[in-house]
Amino acid sequence: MSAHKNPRQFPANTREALANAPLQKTLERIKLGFQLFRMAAMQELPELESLRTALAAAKDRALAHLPHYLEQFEKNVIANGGQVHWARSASEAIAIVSRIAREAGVKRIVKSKSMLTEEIGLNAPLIRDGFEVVETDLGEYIIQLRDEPPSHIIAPAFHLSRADVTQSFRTAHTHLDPKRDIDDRKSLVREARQVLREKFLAADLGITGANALIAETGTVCLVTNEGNADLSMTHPRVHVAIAGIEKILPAMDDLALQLRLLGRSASGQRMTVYTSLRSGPRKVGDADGPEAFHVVLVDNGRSQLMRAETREVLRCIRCAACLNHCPVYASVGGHAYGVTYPGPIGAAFQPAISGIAATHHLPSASSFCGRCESVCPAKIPLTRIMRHWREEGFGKGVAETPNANALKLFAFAARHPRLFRATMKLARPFWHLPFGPMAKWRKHRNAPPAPAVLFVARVQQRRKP
Amino acid sequence: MIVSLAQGKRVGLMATCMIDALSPQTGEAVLRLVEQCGFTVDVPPQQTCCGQPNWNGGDRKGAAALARRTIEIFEPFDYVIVPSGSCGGQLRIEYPAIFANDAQWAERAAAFAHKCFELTSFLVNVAGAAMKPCGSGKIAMHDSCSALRQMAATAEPRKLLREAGYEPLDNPSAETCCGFGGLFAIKYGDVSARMGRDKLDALAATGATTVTACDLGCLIHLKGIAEREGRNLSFRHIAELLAPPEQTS
Amino acid sequence: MSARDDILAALARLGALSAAPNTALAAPPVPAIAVKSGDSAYARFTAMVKESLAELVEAADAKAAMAEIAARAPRNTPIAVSPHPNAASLDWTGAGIEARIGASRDLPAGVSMADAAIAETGSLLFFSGANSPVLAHFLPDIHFALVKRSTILPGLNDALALARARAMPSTVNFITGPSRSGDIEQTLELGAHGPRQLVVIVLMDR
Repeated sequence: MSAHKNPRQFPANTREALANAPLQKTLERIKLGFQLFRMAAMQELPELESLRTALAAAKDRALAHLPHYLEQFEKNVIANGGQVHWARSASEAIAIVSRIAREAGVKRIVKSKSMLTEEIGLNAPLIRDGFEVVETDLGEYIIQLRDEPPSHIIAPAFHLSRADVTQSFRTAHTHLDPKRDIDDRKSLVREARQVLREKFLAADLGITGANALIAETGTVCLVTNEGNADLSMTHPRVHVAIAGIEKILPAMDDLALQLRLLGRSASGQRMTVYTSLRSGPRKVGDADGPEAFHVVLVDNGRSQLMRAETREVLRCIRCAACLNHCPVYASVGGHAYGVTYPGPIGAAFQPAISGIAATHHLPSASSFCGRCESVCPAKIPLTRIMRHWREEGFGKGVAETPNANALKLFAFAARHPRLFRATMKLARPFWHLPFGPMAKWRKHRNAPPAPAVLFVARVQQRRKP
Repeated sequence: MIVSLAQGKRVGLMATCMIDALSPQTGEAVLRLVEQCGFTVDVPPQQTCCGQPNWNGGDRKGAAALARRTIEIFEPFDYVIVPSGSCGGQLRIEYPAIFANDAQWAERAAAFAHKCFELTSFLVNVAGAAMKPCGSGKIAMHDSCSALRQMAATAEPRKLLREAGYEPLDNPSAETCCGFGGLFAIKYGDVSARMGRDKLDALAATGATTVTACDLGCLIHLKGIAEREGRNLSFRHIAELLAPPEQTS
Repeated sequence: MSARDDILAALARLGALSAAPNTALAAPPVPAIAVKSGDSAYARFTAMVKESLAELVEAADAKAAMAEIAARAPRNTPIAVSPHPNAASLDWTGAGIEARIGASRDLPAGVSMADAAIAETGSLLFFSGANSPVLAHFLPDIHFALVKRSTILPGLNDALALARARAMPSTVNFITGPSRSGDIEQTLELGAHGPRQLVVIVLMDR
């Protein structure tokens, strides 16, 4: 069974996920883990609401003047001795990274976790171009061994059990003693540290993402708990940081604000263990650091999201709080969505990257409960944006045509009260048919009795003079 | 017993198409309840649907047409009572959003929105009404997502239930959606049912055997699953618990 | 048109501005936990360090600090000592420690000197430079981080302002506790891939 699913088959994917007992067991950790961690972390921030409002305002300001801040960022990176590249599309971004690697005579690449590199599919083409590419975030390393996509924005191997990891390490680390005991987490982590430490020290190029790009200083901010981003970007002689254009923050004070909300919203941490600021290659005289530093700024559909209906989605800081609180995600996990970004942020963002025709299920598969937006640190109006995508889908006829036609008919009938009531009464004979909406309802639940006496008409009747 | 906020004002009832078609007894309970509080309530006969299914389904044109129609029908009233958090949300929050860029309707929709109240919110915050004791026992309170997040109506139903003699019970999964979500329940029925089962577990764990909510949709969905699974739970719209019994004349 | 031009033009078409804003936004609120001072800040710092699963030790002076290191470091192996002047120039031999100056990929224990610390989060702040290799904080299994009490700042804003005032060294590291991963069954394990143990030694110069 391939872990790479098709978003067009989301309903079938959900059925598969709901029937997958081991997956359901791991998903229990969402309620018991992530949700509780976030709640506990917010206890010491009575200022939470004003911080969220401030972050939304700071991000909106950055977006409203994005060309200005991008240019300021670029100028400062260059002044610091770095280089800036711009990529309109995934393929352009990949070509740029490959060229940088080739021109620097790179053979071995280490990567820290970057959802953007998943989005553009960076690894496979680099491997095809002859580079060794090793993911160094433990979760990403594990799924790289298994050839699976990440199932969660911050916890890529969330869907796996410890036994899965043991099996993958045994299969992949053939140079180690097959009789060694790696049946517990500690030994697995020790082994990963050992294997990956060699990779860090042998690599020529480290590729990272960026959690924020600070315009006023030309700085890239990276956050990890493992320290793998730091090891990836310090020892190798070249560092490439690749980030979406929307990651811009104007100033350091904005970064402080974002950092206060990021860790707490994501995993209930005040700070990730390692928060690092990279502002250029090693300075003359520095004891270590890369000789060359490149930033690749990627569009890949983001500039189109600047329109009023969707702009706020670009505030996202990739904390995954929305996923962690979404009852749909909690029921089916990340792979069912079949795209890079699952859950509510995916529903709001992915259609811009992959087109609404392929991804229409994502914004549709929401009850609009609004829990996601109630926990989003940047107050992104996720349900409003999902509704916008539903409108796009409706207009382009990509959602199932019977549903669209039914809605149009419904609106027509509802403009004519007598017809409306007649239709409701007419529903009676169709109420128990084995096809149509009531049959779909009945697949999972009993149905209420078919309409008989209609309330408004009865009152009207009763009150006739 | 009415406080002067609403005394002498014209009150219209938007029944909601679900109550109209699927639960007329709920509509009757709403009428009895609001009349007991001293109001004369009009039920405009031309009403049909607020247009939420169209709005949520991406049919802006249909949603706007039904919104204009609903505003025209109910505008003449001083207050519009809606026995549903989600339809109430459509009127109060979404109508202004639908017409935000419409020079002609923006102000009209905003003015209209101010008059629209979810039922319990109206009774507590506008009418200042107190309930007469009319029931007893533990009731599992289900907060619909719209009542919780759009209409901020969580204290009001509990206050009214207590005054009426009931013991409303909370559950720790109150912030998790029950899975109804309108058309979501039909389009993504597998996930919807799973969410419903999880919610039923939480509601049943309170020890109550009656579940109430301000939204009929949630109740129909949960009842449908509970019956299918043979759970010992009954489901009543909050109006039915608060209203005086029907007169048998 | 270059990619750069295309992207900037696409943004401009949808209303994004290439001029700087005219007015400043109000400064973002700074929460109460970030504005403590004096003893209250120090109490916060020590509590946060411990919460981050690091060990906190107070040392009256450099000699006491080296004694704490000697007591904890693995025996019979040299310790990597960062070339930072406040660390490298100490009398390690007198403390019974064989010090190798510079970051090391082979030695299990390493000592580096923090430039500052943050009470709000219990973080240590390290600036890259001629005498402070970044790898000194990441390669060792057990990382001894020296920090002067007088350099503890109230909050993140102060630390970032300090970094900016230093004209942004090429690397600034905020380190809060030992390295860890929750990637296997959402349970924390330490030591992937940075130090498994972090000992924060506060030089009580205040």
